[in-house]
Amino acid sequence: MTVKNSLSVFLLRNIIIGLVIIFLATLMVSTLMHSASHQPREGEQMSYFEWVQGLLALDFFDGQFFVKTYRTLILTFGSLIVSLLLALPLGIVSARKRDSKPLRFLTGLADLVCSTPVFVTAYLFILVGIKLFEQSFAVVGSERSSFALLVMFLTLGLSNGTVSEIMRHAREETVRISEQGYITAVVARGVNYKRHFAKSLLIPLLNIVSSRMVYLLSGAVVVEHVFTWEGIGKWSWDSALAGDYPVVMSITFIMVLFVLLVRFGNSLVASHVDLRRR
Amino acid sequence: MVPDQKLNHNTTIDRPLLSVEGLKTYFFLQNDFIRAVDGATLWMNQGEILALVGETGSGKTITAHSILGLVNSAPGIVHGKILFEGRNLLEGLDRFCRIENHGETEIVRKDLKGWDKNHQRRLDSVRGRKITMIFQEPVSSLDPYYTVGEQLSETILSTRPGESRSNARDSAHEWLKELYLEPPTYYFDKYAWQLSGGECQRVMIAMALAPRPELVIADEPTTALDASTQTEIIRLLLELRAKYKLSILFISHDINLVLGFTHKMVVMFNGRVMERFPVESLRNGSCEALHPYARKLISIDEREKPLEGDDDLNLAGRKEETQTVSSRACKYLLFCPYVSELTEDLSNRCKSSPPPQVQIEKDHWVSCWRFARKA
Amino acid sequence: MPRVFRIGQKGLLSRIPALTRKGILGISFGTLVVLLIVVGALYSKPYAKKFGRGHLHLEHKYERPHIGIFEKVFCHTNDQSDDSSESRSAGDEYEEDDIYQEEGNPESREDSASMLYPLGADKNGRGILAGLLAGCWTVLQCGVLSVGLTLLLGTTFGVLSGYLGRAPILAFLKKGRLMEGKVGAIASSSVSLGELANLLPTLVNIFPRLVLVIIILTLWKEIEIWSVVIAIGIINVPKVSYAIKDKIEHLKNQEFIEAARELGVPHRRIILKHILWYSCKPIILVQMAYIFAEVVLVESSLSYLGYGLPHSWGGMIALERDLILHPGGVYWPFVFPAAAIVIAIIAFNALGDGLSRWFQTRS
Repeated sequence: MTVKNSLSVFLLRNIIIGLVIIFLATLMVSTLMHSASHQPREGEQMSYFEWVQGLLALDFFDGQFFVKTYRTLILTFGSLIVSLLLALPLGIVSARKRDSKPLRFLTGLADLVCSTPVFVTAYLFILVGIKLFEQSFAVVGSERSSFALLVMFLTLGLSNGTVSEIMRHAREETVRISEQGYITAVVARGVNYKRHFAKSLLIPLLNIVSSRMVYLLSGAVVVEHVFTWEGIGKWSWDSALAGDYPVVMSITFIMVLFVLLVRFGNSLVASHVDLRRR
Repeated sequence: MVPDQKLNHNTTIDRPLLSVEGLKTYFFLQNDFIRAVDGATLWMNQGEILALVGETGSGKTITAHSILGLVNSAPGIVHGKILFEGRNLLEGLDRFCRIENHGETEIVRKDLKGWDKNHQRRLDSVRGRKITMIFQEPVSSLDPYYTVGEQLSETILSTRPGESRSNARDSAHEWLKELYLEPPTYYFDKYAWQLSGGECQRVMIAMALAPRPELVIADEPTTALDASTQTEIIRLLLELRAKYKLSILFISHDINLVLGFTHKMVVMFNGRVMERFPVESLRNGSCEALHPYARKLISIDEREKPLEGDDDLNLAGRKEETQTVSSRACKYLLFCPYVSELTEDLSNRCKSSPPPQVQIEKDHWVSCWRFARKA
Repeated sequence: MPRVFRIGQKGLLSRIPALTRKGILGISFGTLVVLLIVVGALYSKPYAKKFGRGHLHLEHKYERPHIGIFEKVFCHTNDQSDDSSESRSAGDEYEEDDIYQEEGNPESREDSASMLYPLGADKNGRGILAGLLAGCWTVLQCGVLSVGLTLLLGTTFGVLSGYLGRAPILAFLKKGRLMEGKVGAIASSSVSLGELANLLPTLVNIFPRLVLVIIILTLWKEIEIWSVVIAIGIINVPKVSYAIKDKIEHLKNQEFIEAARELGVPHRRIILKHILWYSCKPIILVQMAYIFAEVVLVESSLSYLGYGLPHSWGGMIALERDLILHPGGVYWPFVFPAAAIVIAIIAFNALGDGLSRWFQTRS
């Protein structure tokens, strides 16, 4: 089979599976919500079918949806960048300099500190922020100074174990790659090994990032609560508790779609570069 | 069997092309030193093929890696000189590293970072340009995420800065043709894991030859290949050597193989060189291996009767014993059949200091106290 | 700076790397904290009875929060107070009544240090230590039950999906035309039975955990122990089931299962004995530790957001939410529960790490 053919099969297969998963996931949530013990609000109890109709007519995606999704996306990706900035160098360097005691201490520390729950880190940063910078994080609504944004990113990025996982994987992969032999061969040829190393690290990294995405979203729920950042996480929580069916369903849809897209992107890049999947 | 190669070297230059003197490369594992290379001395002239022979664990691969500065672990190279074309590649080592002997224990003090910087800078002009290397496992020595052609072009580009990409690609195609990988356009876009071992090895040879080096270090290039591919690769290597006037340092554990086409042979055991002899004289019988280890290797391969009173030379099984022997004794002490026959004086020397390399004939040197002239 | 390499450094400090490599450090630290938690849980009722300030007793003595010994030593809280905010936050569910307005003047705060509140008191006059102990009990209860549920479900799904394997579900359609061309390609590369069995864990895995938890929690009118246990149990299932599925597939590649079938070993025995007990035991044990950490994390987050179990460390932190905005040196209602949570999570993670290294060096 030529490359084009297998690519289109791959795309088609993933799309179909993705659609099935979205369908099943929304069905599952719908079942749960319908069996919820809340009194349905007036006119809020709709059937699954009605919701799907509304969805296809783009009925639920008013401006609020987009803004809130956008906000959560910013939070997620910003935190991801923070995590990567800390975890990648630590992981890679700690693989190379395995004997360095301060480095081991540092990585161990990062590992432990970053396994804490989100609200603990949140409080820590708020305390620090207030004490050092005298900035208040009081509820301003949706306007946020960039400093506050930074604190949010730091909070989510440095908790929930994201940094630990990325660091651990980066370290393992660096060790594995260095033992491969082609890095030595590249160095022996006088070529800069960084390009080769980076490409080899790319796929494992994408893998771990896409599998941590779900945890980032889950942590975003708490962060949005603490900082009163009106995003999808907080909204889903509040509407689930209120029994607001269409909102919950639509948020579910978006979240599942997002996670599936991330995974799809991951396997796309992986199959383009990686071997076994061909 | 590969036909004889005519010795074609011109020894107009007096100094050898590569000269390794007293190289010591140590590793530090679980609170103890592993003396992978413990005072190795060897040299080769321009245009020669030198075989570096020894078992697994004898330090031959580490020697090769030390020449090209590929040793990453601590402490790494701690002592010695590597003279290439007259320049010492390990210049300044004594500034960064000091070995202190306190009786039986050794203490190594090394400034790892400083030495690294110094060393890498010195190697930049040599590595991949004047000295190149071919590795043992051809498929895993190629990056699986880049095509073969891309890696070849990359090598060409790095040796010829300023060359345009398309020129480098064309050169890559030419080199693929040179290595009988035809049609080159087919091979260019293949990945390492799509090719056979022999084809990968040829790509590696191409990458080693493209910079037009002086010296090619071949680290057991045929060990991972089957017999017929072995012969093919060696034949190819020799053909290209004649064409491009290379010197080859051929590392192997198979004496039989290298007897056929190399000029000089150096036998290593446990990190030190035991004997060096001209292969042709060995073949036509005009010289005989003198060191007991070398004799054993050759006799085992030629299936002659081994020396009496010997069990199998099982180095791995005797690791503990070899470690308890003083690091400054002769490395072969535990296995040497002659130790008991020596005088008190001589055998003491065997136990307490490494034998120097003594010249027997023009190119025949032995590292054994039995042949040392009395001081 | 030159590095010195010396033979035979056998000091204690140099033994630590070997210990961590074997995982002993992790295991011992983890077990220590587990023991502490168990002891704390067991002691919570007696302590509350003894001092009458426990969280388990919902009758309050409406007293002012005294400053405990720690605080006398470590911080001089002259100024101000915490609460007296009237906002009803979710944490207010834990208070009976909020007739706690006055905080007392600064002077009244510096009452004599009392042993009654060794770790200080929160804004409702309940001892922090008592709260910690009660939280131990919650952690244990929730953790054990939840992990048990996760293991049960996880092994079931994992074994199912691993065992049923890659038999493509459409292979049953042997009609010739269907197998040709693009459709055939899709069909042959499509879903297998094993993946089908893996469906539920996959679905669960797709969701952010807290979102799924709250959706599941809406099934119950009131939060009780079983609701939280089931919710948290479900969301952790994918981890276990994926791990077991991978392991089984790995085993399958070794043709070990086929060999056993050839010998006529019945399916059930294969699964229970060979797979689960011999091969998966290390995985299960390690995952148990990690999932316990996850459970503590999720449960405390839940409690923080107001929908967890009544006596939980997260809930204690939730009470003091406004404290953060006006911190006046009164930090203990927040620090101690937070430290407890962090230590518990770290300990279980360390336990998991240690166990996995232990099993690695064993094999």
